[in-house]
Amino acid sequence: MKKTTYLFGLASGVALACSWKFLVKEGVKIGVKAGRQIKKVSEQALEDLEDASNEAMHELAEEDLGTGR
Amino acid sequence: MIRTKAPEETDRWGLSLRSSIPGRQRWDVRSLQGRPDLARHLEKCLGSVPRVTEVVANSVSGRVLVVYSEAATKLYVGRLIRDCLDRAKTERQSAKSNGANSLFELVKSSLPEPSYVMAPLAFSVLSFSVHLSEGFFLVSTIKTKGQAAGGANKPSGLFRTLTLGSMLNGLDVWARYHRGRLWRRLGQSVQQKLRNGLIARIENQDHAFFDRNATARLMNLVTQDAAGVGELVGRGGELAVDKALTIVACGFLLITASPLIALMAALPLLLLTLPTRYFGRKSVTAYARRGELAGQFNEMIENSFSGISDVKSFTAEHLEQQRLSDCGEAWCEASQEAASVSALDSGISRGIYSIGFSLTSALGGSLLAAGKITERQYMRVVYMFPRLLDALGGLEEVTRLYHVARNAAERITPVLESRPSIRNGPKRHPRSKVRGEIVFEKVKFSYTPGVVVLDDISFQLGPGQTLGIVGKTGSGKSTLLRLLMRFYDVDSGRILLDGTDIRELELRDLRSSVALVSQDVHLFHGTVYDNVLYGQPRAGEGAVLEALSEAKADDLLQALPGGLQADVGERGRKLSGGQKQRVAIARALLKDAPVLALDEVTSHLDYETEAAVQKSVRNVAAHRSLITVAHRLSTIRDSDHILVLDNGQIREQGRHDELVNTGGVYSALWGLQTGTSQTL
Repeated sequence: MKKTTYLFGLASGVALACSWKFLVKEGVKIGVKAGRQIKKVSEQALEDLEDASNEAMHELAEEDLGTGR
Repeated sequence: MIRTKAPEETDRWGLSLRSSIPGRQRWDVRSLQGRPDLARHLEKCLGSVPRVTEVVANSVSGRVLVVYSEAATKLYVGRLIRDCLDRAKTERQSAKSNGANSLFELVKSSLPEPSYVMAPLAFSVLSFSVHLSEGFFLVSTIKTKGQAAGGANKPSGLFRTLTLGSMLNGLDVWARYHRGRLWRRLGQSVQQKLRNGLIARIENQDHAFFDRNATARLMNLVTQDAAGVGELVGRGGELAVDKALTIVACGFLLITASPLIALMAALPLLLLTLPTRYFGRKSVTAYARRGELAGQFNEMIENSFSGISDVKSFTAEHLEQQRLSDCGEAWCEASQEAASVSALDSGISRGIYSIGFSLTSALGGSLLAAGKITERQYMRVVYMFPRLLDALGGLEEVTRLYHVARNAAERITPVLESRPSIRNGPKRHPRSKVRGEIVFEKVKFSYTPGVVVLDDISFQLGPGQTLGIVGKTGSGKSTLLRLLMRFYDVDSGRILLDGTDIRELELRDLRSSVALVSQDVHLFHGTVYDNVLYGQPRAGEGAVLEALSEAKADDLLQALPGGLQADVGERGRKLSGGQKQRVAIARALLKDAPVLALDEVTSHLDYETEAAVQKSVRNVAAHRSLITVAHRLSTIRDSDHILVLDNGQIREQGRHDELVNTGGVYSALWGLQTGTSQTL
């Protein structure tokens, strides 16, 4: 193995040892943010579904009223 | 699906309508995302709106679902949400406002003339100086070994010591008495000024303010909270100045006696900051809770005692006692908690002082034995250090008073800062020039934003004409009269008096031009005479008797022991409902206003008396505009114009005969009341 490769590996190891906590924290943050976004989108989708079904039921009721059923 | 989107529907809160069907709306509220506290507030706030049946505020999706009874109401959900969000913001801001600043500003604005402040300060300095001189004198009388051996202990010396000591003591008592008296005077003066300011501010508030604040809570502000601030200035001020002078002087004397001992004495003082910081925060919370519960207790007591008839009729005495007892216990516990926090703080502080005292005495003794300080210096240390401890102990009481006053200031300041939304208009229109022409133009009004109570109300009443208003309970009849008095302002449209918008008139002119007798008659504690005279304080006894006679209340004077001077009791409790109504009518007639507005004021009278009162009032008010709200159609059948209100809107209007012939709601009501019809 070349000496430079060894030195490069050593430097990377040192850099990783120094910044592992930061990297882990950033990773967790990204994960939490992604989780929140997924939760938000899924909650919104559920609410949209609920709204749509309520609106549909209302429109049906209005149509029924119009046709005198 | 129709998605109505008014121009006002997006704003700084990020509001936009997402889904809408009658009785159900979902709104996007951008500012709600990631704010569970705001979501909870919205749910609570919107949930308290009448006719709203379900609220789901989701802080994850940032949306609010509002389900409400679609029948019989017009809800402006967007405005409701916006109003709740605004309220949450205001509450957050007031919670953030610094209590210490509020207290400082409050005391500053309530201080009397400078002589009231300077005099107690001067006596504090005098009293302290005398007290300190006593100390010096006492130390100087203690003979050291050398002096005693020199034979300085002669009888003449003892006599001089006794005389000087007595004189200093007498001076001390005199200075202390005046110091206490002047500080109390300052405290009372601050309290009185604050109380007057509060009363003036509260009296000038609009009705919406009283809708938001319970009477007992306001009473608490004027009595207990104002007293708390006064006590801080009076007693707290006296203690603070005295103890601060003691700490400075004793500290200085200790340093000059022996810097080493002074350093040893200062160590416990540094340690003292720890419990003070820790318990200080706890104290603020504990005293705030105590104040809150005291307010609640007063509110409950007021509610319970004023509704004593209902309490008794429902045999709920035991229940009331239990509720009051529970609340009283909670108040007691909160007081105990606040006291125990103070006691613990005081105990720990005293412990630290004692350790300091022991160390100082021991160190002083060893320095004396080593010959590094003189006996006199040692005596000075032994005399001064307990004074220092006592002064620090006194400051704890000042801290307690400060916490109580600070919490009181936090409650008082928002009231003093609130400005009524109903304000004087620029135009003068004196009562003597009022003709009594009233016009309602497309008036719309809601007590709670979004919940419409009156909608598109338009009618005209000429000078000297009579108007009758009928309608179901809750149809907005009384609200109409309240708007005429400008107790509230209309949301849209306008009300004109003699062609001028009432918002442009001076409130005094407007309200003196309308004599309103409301359905919940309120009589003041005093005599019948006092109550009638309330309408026109400068009127004589003859005018009062005439007004009572016009209100057909002559028999009342015969029935009541004392006649005109009979005591009506608190809120007129000693009179019957009908008697109270007639006294109230007499009071309104005596006011001699160009417009007379009677809101269900003959409901407690029998038909015969009611007819007599009506006839008399019509005669008296022949030249005045008369508005009568009534359920009994017989009361208003002779009116020039009749309005039939239903769900905040005018369903029918016209003269009695026209309305009976129309075959509408009025006709049905007439049939029901005259017995010609069985159903509406």
